[in-house]
Amino acid sequence: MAIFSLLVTATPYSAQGQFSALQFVRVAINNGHSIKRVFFYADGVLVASRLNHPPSDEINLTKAWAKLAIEQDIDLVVCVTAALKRGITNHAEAERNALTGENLDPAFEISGLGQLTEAMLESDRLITFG
Amino acid sequence: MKSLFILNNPTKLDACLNAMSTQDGLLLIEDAVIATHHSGLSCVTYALEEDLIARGLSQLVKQHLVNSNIKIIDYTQFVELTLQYDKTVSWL
Repeated sequence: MAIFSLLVTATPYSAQGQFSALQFVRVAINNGHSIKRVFFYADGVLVASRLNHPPSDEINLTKAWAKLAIEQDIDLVVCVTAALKRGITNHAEAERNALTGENLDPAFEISGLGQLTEAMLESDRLITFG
Repeated sequence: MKSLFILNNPTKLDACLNAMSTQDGLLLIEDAVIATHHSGLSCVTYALEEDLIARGLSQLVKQHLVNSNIKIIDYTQFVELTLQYDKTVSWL
Protein backbone atom coordinates (compact mmCIF):
# COMPACT_ATOMS: atom_id res chain seq x y z
CA MET A 1 0.00 0.00 0.00
CA ALA A 2 1.27 3.42 -0.91
CA ILE A 3 1.65 6.74 0.87
CA PHE A 4 0.27 9.77 -0.97
CA SER A 5 0.54 13.50 -0.42
CA LEU A 6 -1.48 16.12 -2.26
CA LEU A 7 -0.68 19.66 -3.29
CA VAL A 8 -3.90 21.64 -3.78
CA THR A 9 -3.65 25.03 -5.50
CA ALA A 10 -7.18 25.14 -6.99
CA THR A 11 -9.39 27.96 -5.79
CA PRO A 12 -12.53 26.67 -4.08
CA TYR A 13 -15.91 26.95 -5.86
CA SER A 14 -14.64 28.54 -9.12
CA ALA A 15 -12.60 25.48 -10.06
CA GLN A 16 -13.07 21.76 -9.62
CA GLY A 17 -9.66 20.92 -8.16
CA GLN A 18 -10.64 21.00 -4.49
CA PHE A 19 -13.45 18.54 -5.13
CA SER A 20 -11.23 16.31 -7.28
CA ALA A 21 -8.62 16.28 -4.52
CA LEU A 22 -11.25 15.32 -1.93
CA GLN A 23 -12.43 12.47 -4.14
CA PHE A 24 -8.87 11.26 -4.66
CA VAL A 25 -8.18 11.21 -0.92
CA ARG A 26 -11.44 9.39 -0.11
CA VAL A 27 -10.86 6.72 -2.75
CA ALA A 28 -7.18 6.25 -1.88
CA ILE A 29 -8.09 5.65 1.77
CA ASN A 30 -10.97 3.32 0.84
CA ASN A 31 -8.48 1.26 -1.15
CA GLY A 32 -6.08 0.87 1.75
CA HIS A 33 -3.58 3.61 0.92
CA SER A 34 -2.57 6.33 3.35
CA ILE A 35 -2.38 10.09 3.03
CA LYS A 36 0.66 11.68 4.58
CA ARG A 37 -0.40 15.29 4.09
CA VAL A 38 -2.56 17.64 2.03
CA PHE A 39 -0.73 20.89 1.44
CA PHE A 40 -2.73 23.95 0.37
CA TYR A 41 -0.92 26.59 -1.63
CA ALA A 42 -1.78 29.67 -3.73
CA ASP A 43 -5.58 30.19 -4.01
CA GLY A 44 -6.05 26.69 -2.58
CA VAL A 45 -5.56 28.16 0.92
CA LEU A 46 -8.92 29.95 0.64
CA VAL A 47 -10.68 26.71 1.55
CA ALA A 48 -9.24 26.88 5.08
CA SER A 49 -11.43 29.78 6.24
CA ARG A 50 -14.02 28.63 8.76
CA LEU A 51 -16.14 31.61 7.62
CA ASN A 52 -16.72 30.12 4.16
CA HIS A 53 -20.48 29.70 4.06
CA PRO A 54 -21.86 28.32 0.77
CA PRO A 55 -25.63 27.85 0.25
CA SER A 56 -26.95 24.78 2.04
CA ASP A 57 -27.59 22.88 -1.22
CA GLU A 58 -23.93 23.17 -2.27
CA ILE A 59 -20.96 21.27 -0.92
CA ASN A 60 -19.14 22.96 1.95
CA LEU A 61 -15.56 22.21 0.95
CA THR A 62 -14.10 23.49 4.23
CA LYS A 63 -16.30 21.17 6.27
CA ALA A 64 -15.71 18.30 3.85
CA TRP A 65 -11.94 18.58 4.34
CA ALA A 66 -12.33 19.03 8.09
CA LYS A 67 -14.54 15.95 8.39
CA LEU A 68 -12.13 13.84 6.37
CA ALA A 69 -9.15 15.11 8.35
CA ILE A 70 -10.74 14.29 11.69
CA GLU A 71 -12.12 10.88 10.65
CA GLN A 72 -8.93 9.73 8.93
CA ASP A 73 -6.36 11.71 10.92
CA ILE A 74 -5.02 13.56 7.87
CA ASP A 75 -2.60 16.46 8.11
CA LEU A 76 -4.11 19.56 6.40
CA VAL A 77 -1.42 22.21 6.07
CA VAL A 78 -1.86 25.72 4.72
CA CYS A 79 1.12 27.74 3.45
CA VAL A 80 1.61 30.68 5.81
CA THR A 81 2.66 33.20 3.14
CA ALA A 82 -0.16 32.28 0.76
CA ALA A 83 -2.66 32.34 3.64
CA LEU A 84 -1.74 35.71 5.15
CA LYS A 85 -1.74 37.27 1.69
CA ARG A 86 -5.38 36.17 1.31
CA GLY A 87 -6.65 37.02 4.77
CA ILE A 88 -6.47 33.52 6.23
CA THR A 89 -4.94 33.51 9.71
CA ASN A 90 -4.92 31.67 13.01
CA HIS A 91 -4.49 33.29 16.43
CA ALA A 92 -0.69 33.08 16.53
CA GLU A 93 -0.19 34.59 13.06
CA ALA A 94 -2.76 37.31 13.77
CA GLU A 95 -0.86 38.31 16.90
CA ARG A 96 2.52 38.17 15.19
CA ASN A 97 1.28 40.39 12.36
CA ALA A 98 -0.94 42.72 14.42
CA LEU A 99 -4.15 41.55 12.72
CA THR A 100 -7.58 41.64 14.30
CA GLY A 101 -9.51 38.38 14.28
CA GLU A 102 -8.74 34.87 13.12
CA ASN A 103 -10.54 32.57 10.71
CA LEU A 104 -8.51 29.39 10.20
CA ASP A 105 -10.71 26.31 10.54
CA PRO A 106 -9.34 24.22 13.46
CA ALA A 107 -8.91 21.16 11.20
CA PHE A 108 -6.16 23.04 9.31
CA GLU A 109 -2.76 24.19 10.49
CA ILE A 110 -0.59 27.00 9.18
CA SER A 111 3.01 26.21 8.33
CA GLY A 112 5.71 26.73 5.74
CA LEU A 113 6.86 25.19 2.46
CA GLY A 114 9.18 22.90 4.42
CA GLN A 115 6.08 20.84 5.18
CA LEU A 116 5.54 20.36 1.44
CA THR A 117 9.16 19.31 0.92
CA GLU A 118 8.93 16.84 3.80
CA ALA A 119 5.66 15.43 2.42
CA MET A 120 7.30 14.92 -1.00
CA LEU A 121 10.26 13.10 0.58
CA GLU A 122 8.15 10.86 2.80
CA SER A 123 5.44 9.92 0.28
CA ASP A 124 5.48 7.51 -2.66
CA ARG A 125 3.61 10.00 -4.83
CA LEU A 126 2.73 13.70 -4.74
CA ILE A 127 -0.37 14.55 -6.75
CA THR A 128 -1.15 18.17 -7.62
CA PHE A 129 -4.69 19.47 -8.04
CA GLY A 130 -4.76 22.97 -9.45
CA MET B 1 11.27 6.98 -16.17
CA LYS B 2 7.68 7.24 -17.33
CA SER B 3 5.36 9.98 -16.18
CA LEU B 4 1.60 10.30 -15.98
CA PHE B 5 0.55 13.72 -17.24
CA ILE B 6 -2.69 14.89 -15.63
CA LEU B 7 -4.52 17.51 -17.66
CA ASN B 8 -7.55 19.44 -16.39
CA ASN B 9 -7.69 22.22 -18.98
CA PRO B 10 -8.45 21.30 -22.63
CA THR B 11 -6.93 24.54 -23.97
CA LYS B 12 -3.51 23.35 -22.75
CA LEU B 13 -3.64 20.00 -24.53
CA ASP B 14 -1.16 20.83 -27.29
CA ALA B 15 1.46 22.21 -24.92
CA CYS B 16 1.03 19.16 -22.72
CA LEU B 17 1.41 16.72 -25.63
CA ASN B 18 4.56 18.56 -26.74
CA ALA B 19 6.10 18.02 -23.32
CA MET B 20 5.39 14.30 -23.24
CA SER B 21 7.69 11.44 -24.20
CA THR B 22 6.50 8.33 -26.00
CA GLN B 23 6.41 6.19 -22.84
CA ASP B 24 4.35 8.75 -20.89
CA GLY B 25 0.61 8.49 -20.28
CA LEU B 26 -2.05 11.19 -20.39
CA LEU B 27 -4.96 11.36 -17.95
CA LEU B 28 -7.79 13.73 -18.83
CA ILE B 29 -9.77 15.04 -15.84
CA GLU B 30 -12.23 17.85 -15.12
CA ASP B 31 -12.86 20.09 -18.19
CA ALA B 32 -10.07 18.35 -20.11
CA VAL B 33 -12.26 15.25 -20.63
CA ILE B 34 -13.66 17.11 -23.64
CA ALA B 35 -10.28 16.48 -25.29
CA THR B 36 -11.37 12.85 -25.70
CA HIS B 37 -12.79 14.16 -28.99
CA HIS B 38 -9.35 15.29 -30.14
CA SER B 39 -8.18 13.23 -33.08
CA GLY B 40 -4.46 13.64 -32.54
CA LEU B 41 -4.08 11.64 -29.35
CA SER B 42 -1.43 9.07 -30.16
CA CYS B 43 -0.20 8.52 -26.59
CA VAL B 44 -1.74 6.17 -24.03
CA THR B 45 -4.73 8.20 -22.88
CA TYR B 46 -7.13 7.80 -19.99
CA ALA B 47 -10.26 9.80 -19.18
CA LEU B 48 -11.96 10.06 -15.80
CA GLU B 49 -15.47 8.62 -16.07
CA GLU B 50 -16.96 10.75 -13.28
CA ASP B 51 -15.97 13.93 -15.12
CA LEU B 52 -17.23 12.57 -18.47
CA ILE B 53 -20.61 11.78 -16.91
CA ALA B 54 -20.79 15.23 -15.30
CA ARG B 55 -20.46 16.75 -18.78
CA GLY B 56 -22.83 14.39 -20.57
CA LEU B 57 -19.97 12.92 -22.60
CA SER B 58 -19.83 9.39 -21.21
CA GLN B 59 -22.00 7.59 -23.79
CA LEU B 60 -20.59 9.61 -26.67
CA VAL B 61 -17.05 8.68 -25.80
CA LYS B 62 -17.89 5.03 -25.18
CA GLN B 63 -19.50 4.71 -28.62
CA HIS B 64 -16.39 6.16 -30.22
CA LEU B 65 -13.99 3.99 -28.31
CA VAL B 66 -13.94 1.01 -30.66
CA ASN B 67 -10.89 2.21 -32.56
CA SER B 68 -9.53 4.56 -29.99
CA ASN B 69 -6.77 4.08 -27.44
CA ILE B 70 -8.61 6.08 -24.79
CA LYS B 71 -9.39 4.11 -21.65
CA ILE B 72 -12.21 5.28 -19.40
CA ILE B 73 -11.27 4.91 -15.74
CA ASP B 74 -12.86 5.57 -12.35
CA TYR B 75 -11.25 7.15 -9.28
CA THR B 76 -9.98 3.82 -7.95
CA GLN B 77 -8.15 3.26 -11.24
CA PHE B 78 -6.91 6.87 -11.13
CA VAL B 79 -5.25 6.18 -7.76
CA GLU B 80 -3.70 2.93 -9.02
CA LEU B 81 -2.56 4.59 -12.27
CA THR B 82 -0.47 7.12 -10.36
CA LEU B 83 1.42 4.15 -8.87
CA GLN B 84 1.98 2.48 -12.23
CA TYR B 85 3.94 5.51 -13.42
CA ASP B 86 7.15 6.74 -11.78
CA LYS B 87 5.69 10.18 -11.13
CA THR B 88 2.79 12.41 -12.05
CA VAL B 89 2.90 15.80 -13.73
CA SER B 90 -0.20 17.97 -13.32
CA TRP B 91 -0.15 20.18 -16.42
CA LEU B 92 -1.70 23.40 -15.10
